[in-house]
Amino acid sequence: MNDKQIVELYMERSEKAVNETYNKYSAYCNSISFSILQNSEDAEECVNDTFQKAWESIPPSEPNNLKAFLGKIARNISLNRLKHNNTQKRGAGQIDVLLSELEECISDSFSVENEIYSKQLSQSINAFLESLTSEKRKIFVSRYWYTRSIKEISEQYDISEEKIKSILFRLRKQLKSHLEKEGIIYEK
Amino acid sequence: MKSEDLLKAIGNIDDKFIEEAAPKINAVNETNAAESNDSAKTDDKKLVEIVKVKPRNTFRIVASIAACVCFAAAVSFAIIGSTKFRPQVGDNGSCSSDSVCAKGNNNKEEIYNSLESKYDFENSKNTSSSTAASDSQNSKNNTSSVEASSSESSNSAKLSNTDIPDNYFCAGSKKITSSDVKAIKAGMTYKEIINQLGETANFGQGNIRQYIVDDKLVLPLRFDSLSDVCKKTGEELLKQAIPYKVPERIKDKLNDSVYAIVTADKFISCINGEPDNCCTIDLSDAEIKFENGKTATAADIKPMSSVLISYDMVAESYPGSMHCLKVTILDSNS
Repeated sequence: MNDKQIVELYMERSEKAVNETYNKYSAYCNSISFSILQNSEDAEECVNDTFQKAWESIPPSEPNNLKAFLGKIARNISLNRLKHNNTQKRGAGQIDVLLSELEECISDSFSVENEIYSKQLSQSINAFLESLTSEKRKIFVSRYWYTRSIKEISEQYDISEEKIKSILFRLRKQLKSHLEKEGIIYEK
Repeated sequence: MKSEDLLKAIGNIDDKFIEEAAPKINAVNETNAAESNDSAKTDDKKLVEIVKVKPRNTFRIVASIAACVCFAAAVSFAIIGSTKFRPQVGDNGSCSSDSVCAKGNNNKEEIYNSLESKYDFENSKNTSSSTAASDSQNSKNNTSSVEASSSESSNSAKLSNTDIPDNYFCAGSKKITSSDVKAIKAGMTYKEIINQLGETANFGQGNIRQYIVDDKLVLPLRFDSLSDVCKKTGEELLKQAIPYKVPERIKDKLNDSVYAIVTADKFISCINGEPDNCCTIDLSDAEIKFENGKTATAADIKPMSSVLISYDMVAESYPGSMHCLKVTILDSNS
C-alpha cells in the first residue's frame, strides 16, 4: 500500500491506517528513536507514541510525504523523551556529541524563544542544505537529523570515518557562516 | 541548551531532505535495527554491507598479491642475472659460454691479486716433471697433454666459486696468433701469460683459459693458480693446440651427433666448431668407443681429444649438461 492510500485511511479514520503504518514504517521510526535514546524499550515506546501522534494529527494534517512526517514526529518525541527522562548518561552520549558539535554553529546571542526566529532558522537551514551537494547533504542530515553515529554513516555511504568527520567539520563551519550571513546569529 | 534548539530546528527541515538521507531499512523484518551493529541486521542490510566492504577488501587483496608477485619477479631476475653472468665451473671444468664480457671497476691487476690472495703459494709445485710423464701416457692418441693434465698431479689446492671475483667474467675465446703464443717464455707465470695474451674465456672454477690461435686452433690453458709457473715455451704450447673446426670427414655424421673438443675432464668446448659453445658431459650411460670401433672407457676421453657425441638431452643448467648416449673418440688431428 502506498503512502497516499495510507493517508486516505487516516482521513477515513480507519484503524487499518495504523496497522499499515506500523508495517511499513515501524522499523524506520524505531531506527530514529533508538539512535537518539540508545534504548530499545524507550525507542519502542516512542514509536508507539509516534503512531498515536500521527493518528491524532491526520486529519487535519494531510502530509504529502508520510515518511518524513512520521520521522519528524518520532524525532521530536524521542528528543523530548530524552530530555524529560533524563537519559543523557545511558547510551545517549551520541546526542551529547551532536550537541557539542552544533555548539560550533551558534553564538551566545542565539535564542529560539522567539517563534519567528525559529521559523526563520528552519528556513535558513533549508537554504543551507539546498546549497550543498547531495552527498554532503545526506551526511549532514544523517548526522543531525537521524542522529546516526559516524560509524553508521561511514558504512551507509562507504566513506571512511575520518572523511565523514572531516566533511561534518567543514559543514558546521559552513552552516555557521551561513547563519551569520543570514543574520540568524551574530559573530562575537 | 542552545545547541538543543538548533538540533530541534534542524528537525524541521524539508521532507525531501529527510527522505533523501533515509537509511535503507527493511520495514517488514526489522524492529530494532539500530540496537546493535552486530545483531538484528536484515538480509538486505547485510548484503549492502557485504557489497560495500567487498570492493575495498578485494582491492587490498589484489594490491597485496600484485606487490608480492612484483617482488618475487624482481628477486628472480636478480638471481638469474647474477648467475648468468658468473662463470660457474664444477670440478670437471664446466663453463658458461654465454657469459657476457664485462668487468667491474677493478682493473686486471686487482682481479688477479684477489685471486692470488686466496691460494696457499707455499703449496705450489713445479709441474714440469709431471707434465712430461703425462705426455708419454698420451702417445696412443697423440694428445700431448696440456697444462690441464698436469693439474692432476700438481698442486692439490681446490678452487671454489668464491675464488672468482664477481666482477670478472669474460665471454668469447680470444683470438691470438701463433706469434703471440711463441712469444711466451718458459718460466712465466700464468698471470703473466694471460696479461700478455689478453683476457679470454674463463671457464671459471677450474681456471681454464681458452684461446683461438690463427682462427683454426684451440689452445686451453689449465692451471691451479695464476701464480703457477708455466714451464713450457710458446712453441711447446703451440704444439698442444689442435684444430677446433669440424673435419670434413665428420660433417656428414652431424645429423645425430655433435663434434667437440675435450677441454677438460668431462668438459667439452668448440661444439660443432663453435669455440665458445661448451658444456659438461654426463657419461654415466654412454657407450664409449674409439673411432676404429674398439671399446673405450671414460678415462680414455682425455683433454685435447676430439669426440663425436650423440646425446638425448641437455639439462638447462649453467652451463648445460649433455647426457651422452654414445661417444666416439676420434683419431687425433695432426
